[in-house]
Amino acid sequence: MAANDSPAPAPECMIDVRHLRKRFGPKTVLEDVSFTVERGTICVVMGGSGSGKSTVLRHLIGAYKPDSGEVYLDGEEITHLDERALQQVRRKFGMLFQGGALLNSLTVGENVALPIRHHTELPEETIEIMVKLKLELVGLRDAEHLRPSEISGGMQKRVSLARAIALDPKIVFYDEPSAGLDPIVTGVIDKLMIDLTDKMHITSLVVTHDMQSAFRIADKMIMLHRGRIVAAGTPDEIRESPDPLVQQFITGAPDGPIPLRMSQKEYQEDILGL
Amino acid sequence: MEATLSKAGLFLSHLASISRLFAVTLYWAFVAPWRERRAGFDRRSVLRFMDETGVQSVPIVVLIAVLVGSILVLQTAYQLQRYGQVRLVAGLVAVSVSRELGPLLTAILITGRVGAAFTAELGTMKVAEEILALEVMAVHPVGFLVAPRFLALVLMLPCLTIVADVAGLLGGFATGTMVYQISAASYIDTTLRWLLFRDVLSGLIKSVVFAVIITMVGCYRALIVEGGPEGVGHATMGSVVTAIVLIIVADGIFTALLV
Repeated sequence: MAANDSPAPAPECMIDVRHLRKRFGPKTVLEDVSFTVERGTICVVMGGSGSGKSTVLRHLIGAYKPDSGEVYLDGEEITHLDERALQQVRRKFGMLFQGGALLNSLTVGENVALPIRHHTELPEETIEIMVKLKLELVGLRDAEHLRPSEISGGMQKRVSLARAIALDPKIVFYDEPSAGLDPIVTGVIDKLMIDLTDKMHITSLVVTHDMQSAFRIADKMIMLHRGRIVAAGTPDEIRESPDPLVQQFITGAPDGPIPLRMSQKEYQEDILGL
Repeated sequence: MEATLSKAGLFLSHLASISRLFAVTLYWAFVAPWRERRAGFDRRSVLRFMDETGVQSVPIVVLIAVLVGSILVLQTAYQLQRYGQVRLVAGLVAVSVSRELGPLLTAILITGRVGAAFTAELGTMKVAEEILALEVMAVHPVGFLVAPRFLALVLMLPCLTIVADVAGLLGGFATGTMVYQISAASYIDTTLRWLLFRDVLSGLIKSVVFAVIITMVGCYRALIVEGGPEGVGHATMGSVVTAIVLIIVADGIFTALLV
C-alpha cells in the first residue's frame, strides 16, 4: 500500500499528515493537506466554518478514513489500521471535545476513571488517587462526586481535559476548546494547555477560531480555507503575513477575500428572479 | 422504479448493518467477558438496567395484563353464552394469555417504555459526541453501551412475560368468578386442565426474540442518529414503530411455525 513506499517520518515529528484528500459525495472537503507537528509543541489549526479543520481532526483520531493520503501519529501510520489496531494507537492520545462529551450517567470522578479502569489493571485505591490528581490539575477536586449536568459548561470542559490526560497521553487533541466559554475560563484552559506541554511534554493539536487564544498558545499555526492550507508558520509569521485572506481572518473584517455568502450570483438570481 | 430500487437497497443495507450490530453485541455480551482482559462493560450496569427495564416495569405490566385478562373473559364469555358454555371461558383465556397476549402485550409495552428510552438516551449521546469520545478513549461503544442493555432486557423480558401471564390469569379469574358467577374451584380446575407448559414455554421463547428486536432496533436507530435533537426525536419515533412492526411479524412467523 501507499504507506509502504513513503519514507518514515522523522523521529522528532509527532504528527505527520501527508497529502490528505477527502470528498463527501460531490463536495471536496480536503484537498492535499500536509503538515507536521513536532514533539512537545502546540499546533493550532484555524479556519472558518466549513474550512475542513474539523475534518482534519477526525482523520487524526481515526474517525474518518481519507480517500488518499497518510496520517502518522508517533511514527505509526493509522489510516490503514483495522479497529483493533486503532484501539491500541488511541491509548496514546486523549481528546477534549467541543461540548465536553462527558458521560451523563457517570459522576465526574467516574468519567475521569473510565479510561484508567478500562486500560489498566490498577487497584481501585490507586485509581481513586489518580482521579483526584487529575482533577486537582484542572482545579476541580471538589466536583468529583457531582454529575456532569450539575456543573457549568466551563467546568465540564476542564473535567473533559482531566479525562483526556488520565492515561498520560503523548498527544492531546482539542476541538474548539474556547467555544462557549467566557474569556477567563478560556485563559485558564489555555494556561493548562501550556502547562501540560511544558511540564509533561505533551504534543497538542488545537482546532479553533478564537484568534486571541490561538496567538497565546501556538508554537505553530496552520490556516485552512476551503480544504487547503493557505498559511502555515509561527504566530509572528502569521501575524506579519501579507496574505489578505489571513489578515481578514485575524482581524475578523467583514469585507475581504472570504465571502460571507457562498455565491453572489445565486443571490442575485434569487432576489431578482433572473 | 429507480426510487423503489434505491429504497430497497437502503433497506438491505440497514438490514446488513443491524445484523452486524447484533453479531458484535453477541460477542461483547457472551464472548468478550471471558476472552478480553477487560469486559467491555461494568457488570453492575447490567443490574442497573435489569432494575430500570424489568423491575420498574412490573406495575404497568401487571395493570395492563389484569385489564386485558378481564376484558378477554368478558369478550369470550359473550360469545360462549350463545352456546351455553360460559364455564369454558377459563380455558380459552388461559391459552390466549399464555401463548399470545402475555408475550405480545409485554413486548409492545416494553418497546414503548424501554426501547424508546434506549434510542433517546444513546441518540442523545451520539449527538453530544459522547459515543465518539468513547471510541477515542478506546472503549468499544457496543461493548460499553449496547451489550449491558441487551443482556438486561433478554433476561428481564421473559420474567415480565411470566408476570403478565399470571396477572392476566388473575384478572380473568376475578372477572369470571364475579361477573359470570363461575365457582372459583371450577374456574381454577378448567384453567389447570387447559393450561399447558408447552404453551407457556413457547410464549417465553417468543419473548426472548422480542427482547432481541427491541434492543437491536432501539440501539441501532440511536447509533445512526444524525442532525441534533430533531434527529433524536425522529429516531425514537422510528425505533418504536419499527420494533412494534418487527415484533408482530416475528410473532406471526413463530406462531405459524409452532402451531
